[in-house]
Amino acid sequence: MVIEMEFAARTIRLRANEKLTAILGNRMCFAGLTIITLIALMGLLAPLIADDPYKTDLANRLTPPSPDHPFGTDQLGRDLFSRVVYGARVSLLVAITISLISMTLGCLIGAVSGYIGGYLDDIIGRIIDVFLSIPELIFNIALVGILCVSFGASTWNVILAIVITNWVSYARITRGMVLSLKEREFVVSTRAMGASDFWILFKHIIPNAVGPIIVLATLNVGNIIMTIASLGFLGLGIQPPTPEWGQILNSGKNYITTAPWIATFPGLAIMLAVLGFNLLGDGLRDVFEPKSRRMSYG
Amino acid sequence: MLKGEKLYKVFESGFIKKKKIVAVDGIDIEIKEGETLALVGESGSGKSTLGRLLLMLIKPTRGKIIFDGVDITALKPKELRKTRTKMQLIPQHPDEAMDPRWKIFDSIAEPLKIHGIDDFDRVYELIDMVGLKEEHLDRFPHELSGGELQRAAIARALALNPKFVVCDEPTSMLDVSVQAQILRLLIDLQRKLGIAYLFITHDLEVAEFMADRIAVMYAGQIVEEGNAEKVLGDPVHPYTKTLVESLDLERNTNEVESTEPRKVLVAGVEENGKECKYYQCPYRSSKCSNIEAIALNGRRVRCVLAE
Amino acid sequence: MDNLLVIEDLHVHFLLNSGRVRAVDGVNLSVKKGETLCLIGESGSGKSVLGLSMLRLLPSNVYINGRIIFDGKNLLELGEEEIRKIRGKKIAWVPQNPATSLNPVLKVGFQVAEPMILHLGLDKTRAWSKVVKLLDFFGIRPAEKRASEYPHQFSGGMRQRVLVAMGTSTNPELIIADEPTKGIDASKKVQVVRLFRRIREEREDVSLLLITHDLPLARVLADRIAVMYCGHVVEVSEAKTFFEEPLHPYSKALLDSLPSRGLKPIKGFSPSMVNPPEGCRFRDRCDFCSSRCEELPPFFDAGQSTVRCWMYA
Repeated sequence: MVIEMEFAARTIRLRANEKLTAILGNRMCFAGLTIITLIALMGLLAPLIADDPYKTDLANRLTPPSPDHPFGTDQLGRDLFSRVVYGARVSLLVAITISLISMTLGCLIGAVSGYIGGYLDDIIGRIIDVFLSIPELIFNIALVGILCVSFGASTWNVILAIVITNWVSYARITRGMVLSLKEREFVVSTRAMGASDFWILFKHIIPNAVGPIIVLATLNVGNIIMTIASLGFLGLGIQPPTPEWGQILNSGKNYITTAPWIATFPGLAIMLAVLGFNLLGDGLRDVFEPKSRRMSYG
Repeated sequence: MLKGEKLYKVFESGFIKKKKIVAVDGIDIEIKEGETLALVGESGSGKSTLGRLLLMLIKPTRGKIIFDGVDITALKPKELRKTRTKMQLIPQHPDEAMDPRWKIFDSIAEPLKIHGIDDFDRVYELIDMVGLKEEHLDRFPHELSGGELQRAAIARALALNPKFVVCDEPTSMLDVSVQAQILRLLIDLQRKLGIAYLFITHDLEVAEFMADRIAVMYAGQIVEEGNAEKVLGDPVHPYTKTLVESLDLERNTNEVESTEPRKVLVAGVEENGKECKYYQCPYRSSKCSNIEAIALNGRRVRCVLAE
Repeated sequence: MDNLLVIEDLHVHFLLNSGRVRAVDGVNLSVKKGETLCLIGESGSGKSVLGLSMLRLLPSNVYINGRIIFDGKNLLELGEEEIRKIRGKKIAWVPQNPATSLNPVLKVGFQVAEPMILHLGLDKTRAWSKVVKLLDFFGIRPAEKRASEYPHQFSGGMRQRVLVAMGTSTNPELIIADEPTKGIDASKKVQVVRLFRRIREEREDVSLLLITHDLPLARVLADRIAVMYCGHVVEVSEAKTFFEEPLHPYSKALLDSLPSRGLKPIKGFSPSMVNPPEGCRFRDRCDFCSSRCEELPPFFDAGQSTVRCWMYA
């Protein structure tokens, strides 16, 4: 076991160092990371920088931005700034949870399916295709609707629904990568050495497949934030009074002319968050793109 | 030491309309300890498939492979993995042979690690044997040249002291001068370690140089097999004759011919161990649909002409 | 014979993160009208770069210096417009990998017609009939039908003929073929030889520059041979004399490493192209090396040939 650890550590350590410098050096990554960190910090430090997002103050409904209420107040007199700041917690946490769950589920299914092949792979492949052919948002709406009717409205419904639509993209990418990696000569060579399937999967296939998956995961978080917001905008997502950007936007749509700030600030927040993740994802894609091999100038 | 009996490999694709490719069509093959058998044929003849079949990297559709007295086609996965220590592969593309994210040291040490051998000094021993230096160990595959990578692949293949190594066109991707180095290295190692080689190539001259015995493959079947010098010097099977003649570029291009290229049938679509697939043979007759290998002066020829 | 293209003191360096790769480091070479010149070298010798630089097809992170004189002009100084008129029209390039060099979604006939339409200004009908004639000439039959097919319906060998047809369609003065036999079975090489001989049949005065490291191929096709090693041309000889009596030690060693001549390996490794050694680059591997070799030898005449080796001073 000791050899095992030393071995793995050497390989991983070196790779991590290189990758870290590459990532931080890339401009898009840096920009994206900055935005995300700021938003995350904002959420983390919410109790310190904002007031109670649930406190209603009917006397001060629909007041425009002022030193007391930097983003104004909403239709129930709640401080909009606090709601947006706490909303960051909700959006980020829920989005990342969904991303992690669908990533684990999707990658596992995709990897196993791709590696084992045969009938299993045929069936799973078709299932993936079917899922992918359904328009995502409508599917989500339908699922959330069904779950709400069956189990009552809750945040877990949203998470479950989005996970169900989301795991497929991970499965598809992982399966694709595993299928192509399976036949690469270095994998065949490792099999020839007498390595077990486990060894091959975890030491060779998954590390080489990780790149595109990380890129997908990052871009995916942005997507999920949008989906949650869309569901919220339709009144189907995370329910009030929990502050969630899309749902706040939704509540603000009736006051666009009278109190535009209610819709504007959460909208900006959504935009920034998605932008941040997209930048990071695009930057990571640059970093993880396979280095062009030695030049064929031979 | 190694015997393949009635080996078939059929690749199927498609869900409803199944397309079959018969890559290996009823082959009997034998390799003795310490000898080099060259397997020659054009691309698509199935020689790579046969090589991998013998290593059980691909499962034969039918047939047995007996290695050191044990039928390895019947082994359970765990036992097969143990047997693998004795049979290794040197692949065709040196730049693809190793995990691009691993350092050369780790790639060469991998077989030792897999089988729990706690001896990293062996890695240094191995690179010494193949002519690499310590500085190469610390690099990644994309930092080495083709020749250096192939040496590393050879080092890795030797790590577990195999008795049998399949060399799958090890030099076809390398420059002529590097080829000479690698081939000499392989011969040297064979002399020192007594390894048997199945040397797969499409280059007859290289085959003649490397091999004791040679087997000529066409469309998944072995059409002629025997002592390398004799087979190449005096081929019996018409296909072998064509191959040998194509060596002489000068003579060939001066002959008057049509510009229509010779159509080569490679893998057939029907399993038919008995029929000779060389349809364009000028001597073809009805007898050719049912012909087995015929022994003739120490070789085996699968042709009516051998009678 | 007159010179068609003359390369003078060409330097092509690639500027990479890991350093400056001196792919072509001071090359003088000329291609005569109507001859077949084989440029021989290993991977990394710079031969492909040399070919690409004649057509200015190199990526942007290169440093190029020197002159390539063609038709009285220095190709390296021409503007993009002007070089485009020459590329494909007067100097044609037949690329290395037939599998990836054809556009999979365009009919083959169209791809062969493309240079004619672009450079000769032919209209589609005229171009098409020329295409059919060309394909037929190179043995792709029935030409009319095959011209309407797509690349995936052609075998590797046929695709190579298509590429050659594309190259010759505009009647260029110089055809550069990059490693035409790479990855091709020994038994199929005959087809390649016949293909190039056929080009000669059609146009006697076209010049062929074959970039290859396939010595048997060069032996059958070449009029002259130029050998490159590590960015330098080290020998230029008539083909016949080259194979009988190679001059440069590297040429000798290269021929000796052929299977037909004993498979004698060249000791040592090729030097790095990022920091090539001073002086003669073959020094460490040469059996005839002496102290003089610490200084890079100039070209010396030896009969009809020129050699870059102190032994011929």
